Amino acid sequence: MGTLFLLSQGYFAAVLGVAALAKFNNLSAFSDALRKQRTVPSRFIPMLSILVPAVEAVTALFLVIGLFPLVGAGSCLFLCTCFFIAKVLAARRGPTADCGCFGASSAKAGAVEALTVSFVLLAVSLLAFGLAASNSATDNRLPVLSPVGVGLALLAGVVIARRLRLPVQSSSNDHMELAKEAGHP
Amino acid sequence: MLLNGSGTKFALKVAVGMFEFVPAAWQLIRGNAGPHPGLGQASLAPPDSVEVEELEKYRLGVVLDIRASELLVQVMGKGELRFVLSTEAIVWDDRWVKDIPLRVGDRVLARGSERDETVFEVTQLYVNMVDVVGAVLTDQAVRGSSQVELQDQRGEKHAVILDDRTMVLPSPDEELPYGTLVPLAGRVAALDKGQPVHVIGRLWRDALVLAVTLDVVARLEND
Repeated sequence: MGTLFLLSQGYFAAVLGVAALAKFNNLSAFSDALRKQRTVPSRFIPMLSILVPAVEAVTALFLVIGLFPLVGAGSCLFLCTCFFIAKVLAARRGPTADCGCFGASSAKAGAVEALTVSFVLLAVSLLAFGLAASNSATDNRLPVLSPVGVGLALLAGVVIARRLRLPVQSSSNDHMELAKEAGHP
Repeated sequence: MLLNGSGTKFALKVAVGMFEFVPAAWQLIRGNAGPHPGLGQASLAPPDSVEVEELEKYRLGVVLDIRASELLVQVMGKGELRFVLSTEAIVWDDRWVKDIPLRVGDRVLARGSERDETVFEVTQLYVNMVDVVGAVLTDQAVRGSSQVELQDQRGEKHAVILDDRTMVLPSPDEELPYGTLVPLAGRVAALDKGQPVHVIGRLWRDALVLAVTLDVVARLEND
């Protein structure tokens, strides 16, 4: 049971960590996906597009560190429940595919497959929460230097390093000059 | 076996979906899952070579002279180029604005290939293309051959001429696939004051926009 718990912790840490990094890397893609799904009122979209990846990142961190297994598993269960509800609502509105779970790189899965994946994730997270709640599993914590933790840390480093680099200036003044030549402001 | 062929495929798709984070992580490492370049955030990853190749097929310039089957065009970053139009060249995607004569000073966007440093063989040509998003200024039910006034986000007003051949969004009753545009002929498009619309058209007489397509833009403040 302990191994199963550790595997689920590692799996959800990887899923949520990558999802959070992908969303932070391209926040506009996630808000666009939310807007297209029309599952939440548009006034909440700017807040949700920050809040969801933030909660994902914190949950992944909890899972990787393994400091409070019950909190990590509970947060994971909460997120999976929200995702499942969102997928059900989105599926009711039509066979839209892009959930925005992984920012701009989300795969275009069919609605039924996406719903099934979401349901399986919900079931596994429920199982993990049950294991975390039991005394036998709480002693098994994912080591901080697990492959998942190290991999996520490296990935976060890559994303942050790329975001901090200065943008390359393009010679877009040509467009302006051409517009002036053409007599258009 | 509990699963037949389609069941196995479905299970495989679900299994792949469970590990969707792996290609997402790979894309993050490669750096091509960054922000859209047009959204104000700098896209730091180098563009895909396919996109660059596609962009290189386009030339934007101002017409300096009009000759038989060719145009002399001042192209940005390239100097003067001769745009050669073969009989196969398509003007304005064969839409209704294609027959309006060209004038010196018109802006042209051409797709094609460079024969040499001075000659560009054109396969597609767009003249004085205008792409504007603006709010409708008055409530009106428009049919073909009518005029709509728009105000864009900079406060600039645009007079848009609609024609029977202007492509518009169908009414929801028509049950056409999402994104399908239909000719305005025989239809009435009800436009409300303040409603944002997106128009692609041809600038005419430096003042009017002849609408090739007109579609509505989702209002973000609405649910």
